[in-house]
Amino acid sequence: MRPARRRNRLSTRRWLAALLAVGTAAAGAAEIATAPIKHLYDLTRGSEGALSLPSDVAVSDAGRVYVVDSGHHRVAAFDRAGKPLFTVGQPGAAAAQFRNPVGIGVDDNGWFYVADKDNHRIQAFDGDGRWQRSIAVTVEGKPAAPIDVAADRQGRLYVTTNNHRVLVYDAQGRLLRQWGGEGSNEGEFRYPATVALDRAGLIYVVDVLNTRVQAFDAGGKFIIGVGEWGVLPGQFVRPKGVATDARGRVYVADSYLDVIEVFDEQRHFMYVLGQSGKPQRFVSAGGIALDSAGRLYVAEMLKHQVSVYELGP
Amino acid sequence: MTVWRAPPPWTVPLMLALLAAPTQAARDVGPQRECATCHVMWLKDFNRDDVTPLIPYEPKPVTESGRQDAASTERMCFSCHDGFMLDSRSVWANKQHEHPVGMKPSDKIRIPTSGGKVVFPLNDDGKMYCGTCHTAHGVNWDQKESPVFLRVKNVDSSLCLACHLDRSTGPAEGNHPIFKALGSPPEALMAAGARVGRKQDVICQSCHRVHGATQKQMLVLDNRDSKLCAACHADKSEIANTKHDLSVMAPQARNRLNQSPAESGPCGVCHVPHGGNGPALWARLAPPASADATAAACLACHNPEGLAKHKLTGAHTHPVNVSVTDVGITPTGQGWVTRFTDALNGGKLAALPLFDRKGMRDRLGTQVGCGTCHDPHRWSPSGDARAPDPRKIEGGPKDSFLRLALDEDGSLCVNCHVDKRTVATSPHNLAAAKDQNAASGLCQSCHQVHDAKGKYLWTRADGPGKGITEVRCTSCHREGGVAAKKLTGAHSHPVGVRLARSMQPKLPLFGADGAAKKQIDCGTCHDVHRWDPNNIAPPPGAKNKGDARTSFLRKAAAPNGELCIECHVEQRFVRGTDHDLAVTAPDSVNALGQSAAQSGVCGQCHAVHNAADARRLWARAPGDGADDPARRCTSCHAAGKTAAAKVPPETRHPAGVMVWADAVRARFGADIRAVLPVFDANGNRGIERGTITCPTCHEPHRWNARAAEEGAGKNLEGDVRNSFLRAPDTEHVVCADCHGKDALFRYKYFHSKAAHRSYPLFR
Repeated sequence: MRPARRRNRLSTRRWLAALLAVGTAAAGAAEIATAPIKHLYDLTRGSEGALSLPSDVAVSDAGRVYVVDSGHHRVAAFDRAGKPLFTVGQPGAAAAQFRNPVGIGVDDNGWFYVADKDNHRIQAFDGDGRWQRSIAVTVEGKPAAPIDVAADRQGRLYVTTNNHRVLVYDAQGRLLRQWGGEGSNEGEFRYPATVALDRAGLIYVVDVLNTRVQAFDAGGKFIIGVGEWGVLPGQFVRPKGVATDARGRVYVADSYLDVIEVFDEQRHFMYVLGQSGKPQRFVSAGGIALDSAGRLYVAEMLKHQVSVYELGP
Repeated sequence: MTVWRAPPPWTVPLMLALLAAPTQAARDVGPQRECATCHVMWLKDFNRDDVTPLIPYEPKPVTESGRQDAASTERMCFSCHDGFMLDSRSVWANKQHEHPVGMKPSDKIRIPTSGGKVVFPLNDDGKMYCGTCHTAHGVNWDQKESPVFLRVKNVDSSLCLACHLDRSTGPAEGNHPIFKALGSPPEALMAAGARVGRKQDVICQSCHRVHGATQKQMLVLDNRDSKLCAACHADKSEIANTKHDLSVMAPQARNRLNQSPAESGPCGVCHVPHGGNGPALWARLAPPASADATAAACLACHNPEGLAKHKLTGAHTHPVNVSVTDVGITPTGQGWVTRFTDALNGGKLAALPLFDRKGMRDRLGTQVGCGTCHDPHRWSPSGDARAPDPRKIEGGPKDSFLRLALDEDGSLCVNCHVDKRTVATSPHNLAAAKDQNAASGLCQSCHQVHDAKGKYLWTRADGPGKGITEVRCTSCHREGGVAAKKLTGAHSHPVGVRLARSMQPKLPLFGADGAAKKQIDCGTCHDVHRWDPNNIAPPPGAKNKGDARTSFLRKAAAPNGELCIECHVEQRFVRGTDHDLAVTAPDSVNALGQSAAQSGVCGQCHAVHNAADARRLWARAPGDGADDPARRCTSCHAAGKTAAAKVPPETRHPAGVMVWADAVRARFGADIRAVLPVFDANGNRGIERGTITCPTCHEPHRWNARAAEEGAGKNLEGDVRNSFLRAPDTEHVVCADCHGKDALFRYKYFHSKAAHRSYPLFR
């Protein structure tokens, strides 16, 4: 099984570039380092109607875009051109029904997985939206609310929960390992949100209230942290979305600052998406995703849309 | 710089130099950092000249809800409540129907204060905002008790009520009740996010969701079709497609909120949860000022100017705001109890809705209202399918929104009028008798609840007569009437006349409206709803052969004349005497062919109806005699008749002798000890002078003038001390006026020839 879509694809910037950027800023009210993006289109309506509070987005290798239409407790699927394909789900607890879903991920087979938060389960669907299976999410025998899910190339599922854990399941839904716990030390979380993998198989977990992204290896060992508390470039207030490109860059969306910050393969701040020192604003960004063609998908929750951009070179 | 992992060796010194301090600050999860989680604008980086923050410094941004602190903007709230941490997405998913923000409170709102400060502050523009109700500071209760981050604990909607007191005053002021037990909360409501109180009772949040409501007015359910109402009031949903469904019957109608039925839904046409008129939360125009409270809601439409002007109750209609206790009903917590247990005969009463005098429905109320008989939400008590088009149907006794049918058993009527149940087994049940004049129900042959023709809700044309009830009886009991075979005849007991003061029967008396009820009428003796006063269900076949034991009499007149002596008290001593034919001539029959057992003690001589003679309603064939009273005596006391053995050889005082009546004698100074009436030729008494005839000396109802008692129950041979003589002795009676001391002789031997010698013996 191939890694999930949120992985490194783009080329790597250098540490020095980041340092120069910071250095320039330190010289006195420097403008914010930005990198332009091109707006392509917005996903505002699925096959069943307008999106409501889209909380996360995932893109399969085949180019299908899956959006958690969380206000409607369903998932809307689109083709690469943004044409609505189908919609899955309605409020409820039965198979293919959801209660307050949050995150979504895809695997190399084109299946998509939905963190069905208040049903305390991960639901798996094939690429055409047919229900496949459900995995109950429990921690120490008690139901836990999953926030997001991502798959690696081996088909393992990495699930964040709102009781501050990361759970790892095999392709059959058996719990392999878990780590975390509430706290602010390495490997601890205060509200882990979205999760993404890079091409090397590192697992990036947004740690919201610790205002950072933590990276782990597949065994759950802490490798590196990205970002910190604050309102300056390279800092976060409410990080929510994370994605990686082929070059190993890490993209982090902040739902209060309304920006997406980019870190290089060394996890150093590079720039904010935007132009001429003006950050592109994403209204209450939740989950984000990158596809193989260099498109960025941003779930703008309070705009009730997923915005699609083309990244620069 | 944001790296915690050890950087490449060549970068370490530079990293430390540039970023050590900020990095350490970022790792410091201390109180200041926790405050800045929301109070972002407190960060000192906004004051630095050497950096450009990712957002501008705006400590008091202007948002959709107005100018307020950045920490209490919706965006700040959502940044934690977007599902990734806490989950209040439903608040934003249906944001168009949430509690208003960005508005100034209306003048109806009184924001409470505490210690001189408002409990629910407004923003810098004086408008409501998130922080009006919410605060992240200082809550001291558990999430299980009430949602945290509220300024006031919201238990049983206490926070809502703090400002919206005007909405919580209950039905008396036109508001939907709160804190009323729900039983088990409706699933539809709960699934839509409604809440109930700690006692499973109605609270504000049972209908409203402050956040996340999908409907207008923050309602938890779409109420255009009154689905919200129906979630609790499911039994009312049957109003759809009935004559009370104004969307069909009067789509142009408007409620007091100027909403059409299509806009208000079927419930909202007549009721509004707040600002209603009266306890029924009435949504229509006010009823006529004269309307009784218990009928006011109905009369708002059913009046000459109203929507239902073609369905009026008329001048003669069943009363409202009368107590069921008047008909012997006592409402209890366990149901209705009647004092007419015999008529109920083991049956059970339905506990119909009752009201207090102000029209408030009251489980233990006593007052009858329209809603006692009618369920305005249900066309038929049987639940039969409704007609496809209510405009084309006409109500009948088994629908018309009745709670119980006006059926062959009179189910609805006799639920209150329990004592009238017995009419079902009587000849007055025209339906059972298959009379062609019968209505379909038990009661409707005679009564019409609304728009009746007259008193007693009479449904027939009045017949001849002067009595109040008489004219109702003669509706049928008249020549050509339904009961033409049951007439009272030419000589019948008087009705429509005032009773003598001495008569004080425990029977109903009547009078014109507003006048004293002192008249005897048909209804005095007859209970038209009960055939046999002593039996609930007469034997089959017996009911059409009425006599003094049955015939709808309130008391049996046979065998002991119980009914008659209610008024004719002095005549009660006839029982058991020689004049009680059940004693002396049980086989005799009166002129109507009734035996003593059938007619009773009185009826052998007197016929209340169809008497043979007008005087004394004589029930026997008169005999021979010089005057009328004498001919009544000779009905029996004559050869070949019942009392042939008691025929005196001389029967009367000389016809040419006229004497003063005792009243006149008294004026002359006579000492009257016993009144001996005198009579004119027509047998009338009370005249000033007349002849002496049989009843002058005899009181035929009392054997012994010395003893106020009934007879011995056997045939006795009388003497001068009894024999129905009026005077206990010969002193002080009229005889002595003429006969002096000879009066004793003539008195004692009055009926012998010796006492009738040809020479006069005047005093």
